[in-house]
Amino acid sequence: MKKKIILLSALGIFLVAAPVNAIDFPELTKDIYVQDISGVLSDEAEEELRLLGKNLEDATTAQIAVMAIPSLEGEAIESYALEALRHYEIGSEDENNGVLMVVSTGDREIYIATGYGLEGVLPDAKVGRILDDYAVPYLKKDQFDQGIRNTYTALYHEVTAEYSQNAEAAAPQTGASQVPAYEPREKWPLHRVIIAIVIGIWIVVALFGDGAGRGNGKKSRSGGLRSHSRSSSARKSSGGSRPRRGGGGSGGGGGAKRKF
Amino acid sequence: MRKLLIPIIIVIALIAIVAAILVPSYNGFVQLEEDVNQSYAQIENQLQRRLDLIPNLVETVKGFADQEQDVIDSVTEARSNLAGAEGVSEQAEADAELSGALSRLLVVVENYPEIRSSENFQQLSDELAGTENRIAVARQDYNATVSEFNRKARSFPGNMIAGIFGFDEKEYFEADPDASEAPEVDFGTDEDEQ
Repeated sequence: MKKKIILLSALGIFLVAAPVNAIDFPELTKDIYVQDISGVLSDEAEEELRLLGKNLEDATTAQIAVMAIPSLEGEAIESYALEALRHYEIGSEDENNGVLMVVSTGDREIYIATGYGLEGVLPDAKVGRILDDYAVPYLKKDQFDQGIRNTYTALYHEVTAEYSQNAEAAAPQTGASQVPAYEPREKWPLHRVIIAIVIGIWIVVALFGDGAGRGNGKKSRSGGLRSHSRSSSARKSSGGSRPRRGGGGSGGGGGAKRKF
Repeated sequence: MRKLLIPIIIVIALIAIVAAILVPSYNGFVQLEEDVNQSYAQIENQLQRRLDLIPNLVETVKGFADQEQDVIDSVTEARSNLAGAEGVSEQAEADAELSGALSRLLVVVENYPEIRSSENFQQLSDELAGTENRIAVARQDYNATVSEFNRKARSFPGNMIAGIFGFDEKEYFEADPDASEAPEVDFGTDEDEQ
């Protein structure tokens, strides 16, 4: 039996496409906005982008981040970027307004991944044009500093323009809002009957039983809690001198890619 | 009267314990099923987006390369197949067919620099690539949720709850029919052994 369970879960993993959480992302040592693992950015550029990112987040809660990595190690840049966006939880939890630019200096590819909430501001075609205009001409000539700075600034302007344009109506749609409401299944009367029985029993037990009755109540309550506790990723505070982290945002694969 | 009370309380307490096990498990199923529905709706959104983009793409390509009628027709046909597809496996199949037709079209386009350099085509192909990527992501998310649901529906005590309340196993969004049927063949008789 155990073997079958192992087989079954192995099969499940196989069907669900392996790359989920397969990549080891580096621990953040600095603010989320700039991670220059390739070491292609000058100190001034890094500081400039960090300040831009900080300002943007303080003003709008949106986060724009850039990663420069030496190699994708065989991973497709689209999935690397999305995994990273989800891993670092770039963007706020409520609005999913994160953008992540990944530059692989070894593979000579650049990809910009947009969070759910910014897909309206930064549709794929616009992201592609930003890459064509601001990134590719410089990256082609190995001018990473200039290319990344220009692209980051262009993204920054798009996002700030959107937020200042309609500060009220900026509430971006999350993935969940496009989803039809759950319709209760026909079987609900049985479900309700069971709940009624349980409540009735609790009343009976509370009336007649003493210690034993209370014990029962506790047990069932903790059981209920356990089943509801869906793994909520530990929220990290962004206060103090610790590096600023992602705000809990996610994305669904929007973005555009270029080779250079 | 007093004599009867104690057995009644014991029976009731037993029922309470059983219910205390059933209810959270049932709620877990409801939650998971909703997750499955949500992630499936994401796939459908993106499939629809893909359907909407293709007529534009076809028009653009036609404008430059009318003589490539075969490839264009195969894309149009695959598109209408996807539009008419019902259910998870049929949609997955039609989507894969459309992907094939589109990639053949893009290979043809390689021979027409004037198409590739047109701004319209560039935008459309960015949108299409983004949509394809979103479909891949939505499919991955959906399959992960389905896998969680099905594992719960097969193992004890989930299989009892699933049986009572009719939570049927969900279908993977998987184009290759052999791959999606394999678990049925190999592990379909598991429940009884638990």
